Parts: sequence; structure tokens; C-alpha cells
Amino acid sequence: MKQNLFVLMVVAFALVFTSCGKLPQVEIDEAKASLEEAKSVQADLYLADEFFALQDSLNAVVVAAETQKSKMFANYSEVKEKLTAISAQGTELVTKTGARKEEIKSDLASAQVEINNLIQENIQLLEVAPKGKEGNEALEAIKADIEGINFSVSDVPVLIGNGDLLNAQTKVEAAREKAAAINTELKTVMEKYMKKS
Amino acid sequence: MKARKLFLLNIYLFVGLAVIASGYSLFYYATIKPPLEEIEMARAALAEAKGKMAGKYAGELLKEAEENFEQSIEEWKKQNNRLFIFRDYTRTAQLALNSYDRSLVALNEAEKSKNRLKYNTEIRLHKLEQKISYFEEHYETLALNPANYKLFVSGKTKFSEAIIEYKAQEYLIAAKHLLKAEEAINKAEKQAHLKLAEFYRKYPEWEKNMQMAYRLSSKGQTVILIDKLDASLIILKSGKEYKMFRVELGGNWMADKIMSGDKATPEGIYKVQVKKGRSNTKYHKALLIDYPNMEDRNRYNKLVQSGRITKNNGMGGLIEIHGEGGKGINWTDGCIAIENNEMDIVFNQCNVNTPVIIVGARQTFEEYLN
Repeated sequence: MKQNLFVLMVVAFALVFTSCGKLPQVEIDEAKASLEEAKSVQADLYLADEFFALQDSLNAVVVAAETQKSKMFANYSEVKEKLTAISAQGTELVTKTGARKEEIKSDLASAQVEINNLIQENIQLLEVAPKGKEGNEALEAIKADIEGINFSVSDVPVLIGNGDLLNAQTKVEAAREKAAAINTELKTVMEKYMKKS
Repeated sequence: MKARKLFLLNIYLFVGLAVIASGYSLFYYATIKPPLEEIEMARAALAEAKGKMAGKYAGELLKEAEENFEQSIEEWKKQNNRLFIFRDYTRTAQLALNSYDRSLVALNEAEKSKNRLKYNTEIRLHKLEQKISYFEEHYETLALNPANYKLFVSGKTKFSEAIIEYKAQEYLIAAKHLLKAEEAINKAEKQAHLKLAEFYRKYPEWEKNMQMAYRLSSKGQTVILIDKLDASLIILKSGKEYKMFRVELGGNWMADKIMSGDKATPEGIYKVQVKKGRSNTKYHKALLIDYPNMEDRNRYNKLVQSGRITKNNGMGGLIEIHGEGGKGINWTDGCIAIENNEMDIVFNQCNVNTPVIIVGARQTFEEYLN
């Protein structure tokens, strides 16, 4: 009887001084893996804000988990829910990054078509553009610029092939701006010329 | 009896100690808390630093902050795995504070670095823009070799890409593009400058010939003066510029005319040899000049003797001032082309033996570049 009482007291003592909850390590690892996967598909580049927000959410949940662990009676149910949500969001981010990349590729393809059309139009305009005294040098420069655009755009498929979509985007944007500027310049010259004649 | 008393004493002692230990533990538990505030501060600061692109502009500092934060969490975990009366969060707190501190420094440094880079990029973009304009004004119309021209155009393209990244506030990428643009433009400018300097080597001769052109004109002769660099044909009358027209030359107009097919426009003192009306030329009207003259022949023979060219390369000839110009490019095989209506004027002003003086440039090297 006395011995039983002693054992009971030791157990009660142990219960009082140790916490009995278990850290949801599996869920934490899953959430971390999900974020790693998102990073591996370059979510930190293509959807940087969302990626960093999710990374911070994970940090916050890890802090919440340790806070529970510090308590005498840990309750990880909320932490588990959040971790599951983070894992799901990480997976979603992987999908969204893929979609974003496809969207960029599609934009790049459309932009390339637009640039090619502008180049063709510019070449046609160049042929009929008035060649005044000062116009000759300008037309020479325009021809060189068109060649430059062609050369620059020729790099784009290589960049896309290497997965360097952001660089390809910049290159295409620069080429489109230049081609459009030349187009406007030539049209303005033609308009003035038509009015004069 | 004595044993029973001893047993009870032991029990009381144990219970007493347990009560004291429990009381102490409860007191400890109530007072020793994990450094949640410090850790939250560190986490928030880290998130803010990442949001403000500290990863890009203060990467090392942010890395330190991240490492400190991770170490802080690890230390916290280690303490949590101990029985709570043995937990000590001092190091956890310290690491969290270190992380917070590093994040703030990273944030501050990123802001400074970003602004500094923005400012420097802005200045460099402006300087390069001026350099591009200068190149376009002074070198673009030269008969540059295709590689040199391609270099310039690729530099201009990189410049446009740098502007796009600058506008997108991606200053690091902008700076990278800018560096490539600067390299290409500087190299293209250097090559073009060397070519121009080489071209100007003959300026003393051009100056002498120009003086002769004005002298002859002052004496009453009509003189045709052609400035290759300015791409102009000037009719001189009574020592003054009577008319000036834009000309188109050979594709290799900067070079010395040496032989047939080199597409160079000769330089020197010539005279109109034949006047060709519309029925005698496919270029509206034409004035055939007496290229090669004696000087051209001597130069050609010296080159043959030195082995730089073979006799198979003929000297060429049929250098004319003719119509059908206004194409916008230097397209002739070495002739001087002008627009038909202007050719009519030139044709009417010239007779057989009218001097045609072709110079590289009327302006000095310095005047041209300034």
C-alpha cells in the first residue's frame, strides 16, 4: 500500500514536471519539403512575394510549435492545421510557378510574332520612306537598328531553352520597344511627307 | 515502533521536499519563459528584410540573420527537450536578438546599397546615352567594318535592356546589362576612333588640295570639291560655296582607292574627262573623271613592286559623278552618286577639264570630333 502510494507520487511528479505533447515533426518536414520543391522550380524568382510570404508563414508556425512545446500541456492541433495548409500552399505554388512560366513563354511567343511583324512593316516603310538630305543617315541608322533587333531576338529561343525566361523577357521587351519606336518614327516621317506632297 | 516513526519521518521528508520542489518548479515555470518576444521580433525583421530585397542587396548580412534565426530555433528546441526546470533560454534569446540585429542591419544596408546602385546606374546610363549619341553622330556614318558595327548595335541593345531593368527597379540586373553595354560601346568607339584617326592621316594632303580648290575657284574656275566624310559635293565659284549636295559613295569609301573592285572612292586632284548625257549612261547623267591619274599610277606601281598587290588586280577606272543617288546608302563601286535633279545642276555647271578635287574631309580631326 505504502509502496503503491510512493509509485503514484513519482508518476504524478513526473506528469507535473514533464510535458506530454509530441512535436508534429512529420508535418514540419512535409511543409519544409514543399517549400524546397517550390524553390527548386524557382518560385523565389517567378513568384517571389508569395514564396517569401510562405517561408515566413513556416517560420511563424515553427515558432508556434516550439511555443507549445515549452508549455506543460502542449497542444499542436492548430500548428498541425497550419503546417498542412503550408504544405498545400507550397504544392500550389509549384503549380502556379509552372503556370507563370508557361504564361511568360506564351507572352514571349506573341511578342516575337509582334516584333517580326513590326520588323517586316519597318522594312517596307524604309523602302518607301523619303530620302532627303538629312534622311539618308537616319535611314542607315534605322537599318542598323533593325539588324540589331533581329540579332537580339535570335538569342531568345536559346534563353527560353535554358529556362532563362526573365532574361528573355527583358530582351524581347527591349526589342519590341525599339521596333515600335522605329515604326512610329517612320510613320511620322511618312505622314509629314504625304502632307507636303 | 522506532522503525515506523523513521518510516513516517522519511515520508514527511519526501513529501516536504516534493512540495518544496514543486513550489520551486512552479515558481521557475511561472518566471522562466521562452524568449517568444525576441524570436517573434527576429522572425518579423527577417521577413521584412527579405521583402525589401535584402537577399539581393545585402545577401551576406541576410544570410547571417537567417543562420542566427535557425540557430535560435535549434537552441530553443534543445532547451524544450530538457525537463523544464533545467531549461535555459539565455542563448536562444541571444541568438534571436543577433538575428534581429543582423536583419535590421541587412535591411538598412540593402536600402543604402539599392539607392547607391540606383544612383550609380542612373549616372552610368546617362553617360552611356551620351556616348551612344556621340557615336551615332561621329562614327556611325563611317565605313566601319561589320563586326565593329555589330558591336555597337549589340551595345545599344544591352543599353535598352539595362533601361528596362532599371525601370523595373532591378538595379543589380540593370548594372550587369549596363556593364556589357559599356564594354561593347567602348570597344566599338575605340575601333571606330582608330579607323577615323587612320583615315585622317592624310589630312595635310587634303588641306593642300582644298586650298588649291579655293584658289582655282577664286581665279574664276568652277571647281567641284567633294568631301567624303561629310558626304557632300560642293560647287565652288569665285572662291565661295555656290551649291552643296549630299552624295553617296562606294561602300568602302574611307579606304584609299588602290585597285579595281575595292569599292573605294579615290582622293586627289582630278578633272572632268567626259560629259555623258542621258543617252550615254544608265545613271541619268554622268561626269567621268580622269582616275587613275599619274599619282594614282605611281602609287599602284609601288604597291605592285612591294608585293602588296599583284598585277592581276587592275587599277580600275570609270570613276564618275553620276545621278540615281538618294538611295540612302553608300552603294556605288567608288563613284559619286547624287540625286538626278541635283545632277542636272552639276552637269550644267561643269565642262570637260573642270577640276574635281576629292578630299577625305574639310574639317580637321578635332573639328570633326567636337
